[in-house]
Amino acid sequence: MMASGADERMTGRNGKRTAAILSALWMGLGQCYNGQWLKGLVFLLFQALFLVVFFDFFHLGLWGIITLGEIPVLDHSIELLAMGLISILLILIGLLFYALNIVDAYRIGALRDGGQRPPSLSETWKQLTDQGFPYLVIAPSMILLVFVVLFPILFMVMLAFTNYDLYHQPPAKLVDYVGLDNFVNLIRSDLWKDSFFSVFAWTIVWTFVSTTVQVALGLFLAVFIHQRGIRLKKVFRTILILPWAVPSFVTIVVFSGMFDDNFGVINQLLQQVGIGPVPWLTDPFWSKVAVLLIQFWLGFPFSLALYTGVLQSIPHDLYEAADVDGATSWQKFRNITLPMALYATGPLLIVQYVGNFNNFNVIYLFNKGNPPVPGSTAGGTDILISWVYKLTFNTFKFNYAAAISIVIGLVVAAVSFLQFRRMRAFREEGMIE
Amino acid sequence: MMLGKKWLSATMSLALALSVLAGCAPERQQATTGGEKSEKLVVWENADDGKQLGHTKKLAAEFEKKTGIKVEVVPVAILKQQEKLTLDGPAGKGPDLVTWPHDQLGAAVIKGLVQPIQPDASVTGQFDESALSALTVDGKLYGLPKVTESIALIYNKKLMPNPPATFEELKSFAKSYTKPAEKKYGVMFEINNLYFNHFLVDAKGGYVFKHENGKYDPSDIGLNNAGAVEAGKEVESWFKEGLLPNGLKGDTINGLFKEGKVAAVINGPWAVLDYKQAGIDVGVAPIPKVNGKDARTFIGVKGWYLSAYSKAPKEALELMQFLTGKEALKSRFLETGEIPPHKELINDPVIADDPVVSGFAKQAAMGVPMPNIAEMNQVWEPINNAFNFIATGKQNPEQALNDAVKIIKEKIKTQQQ
Repeated sequence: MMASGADERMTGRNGKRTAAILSALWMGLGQCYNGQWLKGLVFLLFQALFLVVFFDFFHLGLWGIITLGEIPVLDHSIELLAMGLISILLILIGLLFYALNIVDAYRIGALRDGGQRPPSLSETWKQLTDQGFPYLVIAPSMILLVFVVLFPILFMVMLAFTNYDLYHQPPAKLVDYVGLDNFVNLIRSDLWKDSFFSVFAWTIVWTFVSTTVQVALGLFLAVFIHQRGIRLKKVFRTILILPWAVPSFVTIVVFSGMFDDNFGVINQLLQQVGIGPVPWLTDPFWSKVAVLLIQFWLGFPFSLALYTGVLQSIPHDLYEAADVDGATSWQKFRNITLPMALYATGPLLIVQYVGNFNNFNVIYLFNKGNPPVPGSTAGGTDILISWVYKLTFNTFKFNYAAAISIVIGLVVAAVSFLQFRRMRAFREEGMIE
Repeated sequence: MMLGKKWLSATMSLALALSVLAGCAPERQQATTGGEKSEKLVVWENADDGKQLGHTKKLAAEFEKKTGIKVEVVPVAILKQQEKLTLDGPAGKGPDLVTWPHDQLGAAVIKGLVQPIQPDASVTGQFDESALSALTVDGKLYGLPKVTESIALIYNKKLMPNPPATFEELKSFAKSYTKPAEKKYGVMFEINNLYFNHFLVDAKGGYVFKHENGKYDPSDIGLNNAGAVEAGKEVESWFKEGLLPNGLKGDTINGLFKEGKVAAVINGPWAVLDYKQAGIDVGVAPIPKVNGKDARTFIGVKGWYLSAYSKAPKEALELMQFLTGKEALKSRFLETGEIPPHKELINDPVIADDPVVSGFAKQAAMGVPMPNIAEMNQVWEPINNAFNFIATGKQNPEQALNDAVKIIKEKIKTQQQ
């Protein structure tokens, strides 16, 4: 009712600043000033409710994440840490809305300064669902992601800087921040130092061999089935994809039984063809071979499926042109198929390398990282992640577990980042010339 | 930009407000540490065994009738109780009495989950010394025992009418009887596992942690001293002389014993039912003397502990004493088959006249508890690896045990860091 009067008053004056300041004072005030009463009221109420509902929680959480509690038994440091993180995340989300509210007041104010009528509620709604539709749709999943993915990561990062272990554990004791002590102790401790390099070396070999072979095998089979003369292509593909269809932990546990030194099927078969029993589970070398074989089996169907798709998308005229030039099959593979296939699947290759670097399931379910190696805290097949898991949970060093996870995470992230940047698929978006 | 400055000042004032908010301690709900009386006691009993649960419920009802104090029995998995208590205790929903194997007691004391008890000497006097020491941490008693468990010699009466009197005789019997080609073995047990070979280590003079005045010293490890090396050589000899097969596993032992190929095994009471069902006529006897000394096996004790969050510790202790009284433990044995570490009950006809049970009970009475301190967690894997290296000839006993103790010490150092 007073909108028209206000319009006249505001024209040509600096209403956008006033609106922005009002909105900064309390959410929605600027909107009311702009004449968007309902929107303003909703915002007003939003801030009031946000503060009323969360005030105590924020107070406890923010105090808690800084002090981690002051009185043992009464204060539960780990709960306080979690509450603090949730508080900070909620406050950030609140601040985001707060900022949007100020920007909105400023924009509408500018519109009015230019003599335009502020959009009505239905117009605002239309604009929101039209232009803002993508944001509207992803908003719920983004908020969920914050709490399901971001929160645990932040929680872990915080733990890496505390002394959270058996002797500093609620309820009896409080947890304290210890700065970088965990990282320093990890480097110094004999427990880690002595076995680290052998584990790290095996991790690299494991990552490289398992991934490369599973990819090469998948590519080879895909090319083979793709040949023109091959019949029953669908049958072959279906059969070869089966290892992928069975849940991997079932496969691993079954294989672990088949590789048993004394009673396993594999050794029985080997003995029938005259090869002595192979110590698959008790000899470090042979258990490494066994776990690699299992990973080949588990990994190749994915590559097969991937390359089957890629091969079908390679334009046929390339091969025809090669035929005209008199290229051999190998030349065609080397110069057409391989570059095209790798170009299309480069990012996925990195994902597979990283996946195997941290392939805890296969290692742990097959033989728990065993067999033991004299004088070492790591077993013969332990890769970094499984070794760390055993050591930290066995010694109750939750803080060390967090610290090492951060280190592993950083290494993986750095390698992936460099590789991704070098990949042509990311650098340029066109096809191969 | 005007707006930029505004932004800055707004953010600053907000940060200031937040830091004030974070600076002073907020009001917290006072957790339950004593104070008001609760009108009932709560007991967490093993959820995995219906018989045990049923028996405790029955006793709870009796206690209620006798004293007028209400008792609620809640089933909670025995290995989950500690974890659950860390959450439920501070929240005021915790029980008064909890139960778990004694080797987890040390960690629970560190976490502050249980409180020491001081029952009369007439109460503690009923139990085996070893069972009480299992429930003692740093010289303080934290609970009363209800069950004790030990391994013993289980023999096939058809193949071994009478168990030998000494371990040396047992070994020479094994030598004369064993024919690996026919899968016939005189005596089989997991000699490459500290849990099963502790009596050898102990008899030769080795020990896990020095134990004095109810306290373990985790810095004094006796698993590579001269006695332990002797035990290591004993382990080595069983494999070298072909008395035990390579790649020895519990499953293999049970399988062969059930086929009637093995004259005697060393195993716990949990295995007996399975053996009997396979049609073996089993006898149970204490493990024969080693070097003329009693075979002191590792025993496991399950006790009732008093929660640190109990609102009525006096009444809870009364209930604990009732649950571990002579009559209660006797009826518990009759219903669940759990052997009580109770001096009088061991000589009671219900136990003494049962040849299987009395064999285990006698062995348990002379056993030593597995160390209950949290450092014990670091011992198992390295030491069993070492015995495996000895068994497979990868390392000689001295070297294997020295390596193992070095790793154990490093792990303990890391744990305590």
